[in-house]
Amino acid sequence: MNSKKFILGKEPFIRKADYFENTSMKMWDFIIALIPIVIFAWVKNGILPYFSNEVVVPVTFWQMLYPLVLVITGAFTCTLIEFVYYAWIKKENRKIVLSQMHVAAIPGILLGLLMPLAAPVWVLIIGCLVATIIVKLLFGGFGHNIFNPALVGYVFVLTAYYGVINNAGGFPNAIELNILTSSSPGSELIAGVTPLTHFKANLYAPMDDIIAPYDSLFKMFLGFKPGVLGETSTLLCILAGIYLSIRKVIDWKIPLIYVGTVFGLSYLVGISTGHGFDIRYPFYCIITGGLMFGAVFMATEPVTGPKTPNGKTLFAISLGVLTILFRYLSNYPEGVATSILLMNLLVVLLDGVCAKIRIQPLFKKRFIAYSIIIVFFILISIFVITKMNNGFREQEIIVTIYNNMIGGQ
Amino acid sequence: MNNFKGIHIKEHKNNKEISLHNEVLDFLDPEYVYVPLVEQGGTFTPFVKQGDKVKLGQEIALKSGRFPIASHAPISGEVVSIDIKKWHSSGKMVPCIQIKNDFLETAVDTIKPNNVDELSSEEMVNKIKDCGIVGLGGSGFPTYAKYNPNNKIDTLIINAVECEPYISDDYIKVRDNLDDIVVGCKYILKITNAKVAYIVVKKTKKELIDIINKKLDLIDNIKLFLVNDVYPSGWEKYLVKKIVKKNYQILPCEVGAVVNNVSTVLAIKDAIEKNIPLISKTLTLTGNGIVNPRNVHVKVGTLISDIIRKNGGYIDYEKLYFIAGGPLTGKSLIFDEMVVNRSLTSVVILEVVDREINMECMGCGKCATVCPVNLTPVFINTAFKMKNKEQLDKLAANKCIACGLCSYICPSRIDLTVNVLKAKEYMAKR
Repeated sequence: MNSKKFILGKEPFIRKADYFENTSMKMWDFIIALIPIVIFAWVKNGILPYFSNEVVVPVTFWQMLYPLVLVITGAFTCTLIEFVYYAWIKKENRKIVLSQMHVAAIPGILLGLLMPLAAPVWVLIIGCLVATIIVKLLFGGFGHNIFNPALVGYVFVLTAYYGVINNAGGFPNAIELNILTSSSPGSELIAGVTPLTHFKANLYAPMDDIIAPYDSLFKMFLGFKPGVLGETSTLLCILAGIYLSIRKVIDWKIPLIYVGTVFGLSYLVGISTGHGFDIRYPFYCIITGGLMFGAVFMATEPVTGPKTPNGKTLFAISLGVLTILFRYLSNYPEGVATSILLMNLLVVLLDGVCAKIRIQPLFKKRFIAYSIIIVFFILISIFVITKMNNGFREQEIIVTIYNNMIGGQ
Repeated sequence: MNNFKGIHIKEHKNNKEISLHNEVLDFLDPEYVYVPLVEQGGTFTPFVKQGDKVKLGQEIALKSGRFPIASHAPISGEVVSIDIKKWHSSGKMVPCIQIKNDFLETAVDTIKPNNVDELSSEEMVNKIKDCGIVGLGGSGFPTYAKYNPNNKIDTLIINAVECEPYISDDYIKVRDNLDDIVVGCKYILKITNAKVAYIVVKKTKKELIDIINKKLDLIDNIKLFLVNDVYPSGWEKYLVKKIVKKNYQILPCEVGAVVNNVSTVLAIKDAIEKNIPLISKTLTLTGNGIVNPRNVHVKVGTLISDIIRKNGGYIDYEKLYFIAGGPLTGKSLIFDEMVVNRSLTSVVILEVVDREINMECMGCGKCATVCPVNLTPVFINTAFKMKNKEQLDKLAANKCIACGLCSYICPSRIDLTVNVLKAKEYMAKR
């Protein structure tokens, strides 16, 4: 009896990946979400200064294109390195390699967006080399890297070439430079620094003084503040986060919990440092620095993030706590990159513990395990808040003593 | 923290309807039947030998073990062979008893109407046992074992959810035989002393809900219960959790519940009223690779290839999958010479989708999010590749229920379900 022969497949026979939900598509979504941010960075740092009449130093055509050049160079360098590695050194099927090149471009685009405006192109290329070769390819390529490539590249560039970037002009674009230099005395302090550095230098100053150089919180929320290219527009980062969550590329819980933790803790710090219940204080903390950009594009990066759902929640909470810890109690104003890299290192540990807690059938044991972790976080937070509070008190005492001395004279 | 949400499967829209457009086909006179001698991993010992004449409904084999159960001749005729190998829904070749049909349908004497009112509940359970009723929802677990008189049962759950795509035989049964289901339900209520029975269907099946509501208006202790259109909403633990609001560890009777499939209820009714053993069943023959997808009423032991030939054959695609069971949990076979065993619910023929080019696992963790038993398939996959027994123990790979959701959701098309099941086997071996 001749019988028909069938193909042997593996269950299940319905796969979501067949319907535009595969990894490749998700990475395209990631790039699509980055496009508005690239355009905004270009408009803010290139086009607007070019057409502005108020700038003291006129902006050349090349300088107008420069933000775009940075992002494209980053993307191109990373793609080229991976193509050379896979197609020529490893000799894989060139068609498949080419179809996956957009994934290789993502760290490059992100790194380009993480550059200060004045960063020379060669610095960016070195950053791309570090990100792709050392962080990604040496670990085994996409899916095997432990650290977020773009973030390592960023931290490397900023630590190794900080002087080069600063001498070239640092963060602010021509308009910002113009306003900053022409405004009140003390503005030299602000030139070349981000709102977060300014904030850190004036930790105990009243909120109005902290916001004053940047007009208003709303303008900062829209993105008109000095900073690296991509991080400035909080609004666009939030929109990109919503898009990526709807397309199920990222887990919406991570950015929400991360930003929520930072918001809550900085509110407490604000209260303990004499800002009272001023809601602008925590808002200032979450819209400055790379927090929103890092929360949406870096912390959610699936390769280096945790795999278990409860692990994701704990990851986000610990990111928030660590960011607060680094922001207030370290010399460096930015805490996002460091905390994400530190947590990337701990992901394996976190996942191992969380995978075992999840399958624990007894509610009591799960509850105890989670409680221990939460208590640990609370202790760190209390440490930060008391430390800040003491600093505030010391300053108050110094002021009182000083006043007394003046009064005594 | 237990995840009982389930996932709505959006792909393959209107997959159930394609087999409902055509009427049910009766195919009860195959030339040969092959009664498989393997069920649920246990083997049957045949009573008959080559050349024996058997009658319809005669016991021809018995499975020993913790829950012994018999197998019956689905037709009358002559035994041709007792160890011919045929494909089975487990994906392997199993020995079968081959019987040649004499087309006389001479039945054994015991098949006659009973006076149901005089039967005690023990007698009813014995009849269920003698007639070889097993769980027809796909498990194949001997049904009488659920009615152990030591268990205190409060709730009877009649499962007509059919959460897997494409399958529609429970739908047909509820639509056409609701009266019989209600009668069968009353028998089981009498056996178990349960106070209330729930017939569970999906919220989206408006037609069924209307029919059931009309029928159940007059009956107090049988109620309708609706669940969301998600997978795996037909899972025993999911239903018990939704209805009794308690979790159990191994068997639903721990929390005073019994779950039966509608097809099992119908088989139980036949067994109690007329002593008819489980020799025929309805199964869904569907998929986009087959002509006239429909439900067929066939004898146990019929070859699928015979049924498909009678039904009209395949659509001429170059590559097809032959799936025994539902598209999410079923096994793929190379040949269509597969026997219908008692717990087979469906055969799905699907066109092959090209799944060659995949990317590396990006670690999105979706498999862990969807897992109904809170496993982390991506880690089990890695631990299994390294044959790390300790790690597999810690990750509790043996808890897997083989629902297939992790592979379904995986954006890199990693065969997580298959690997976790292999890991489960590997753990059991040691």
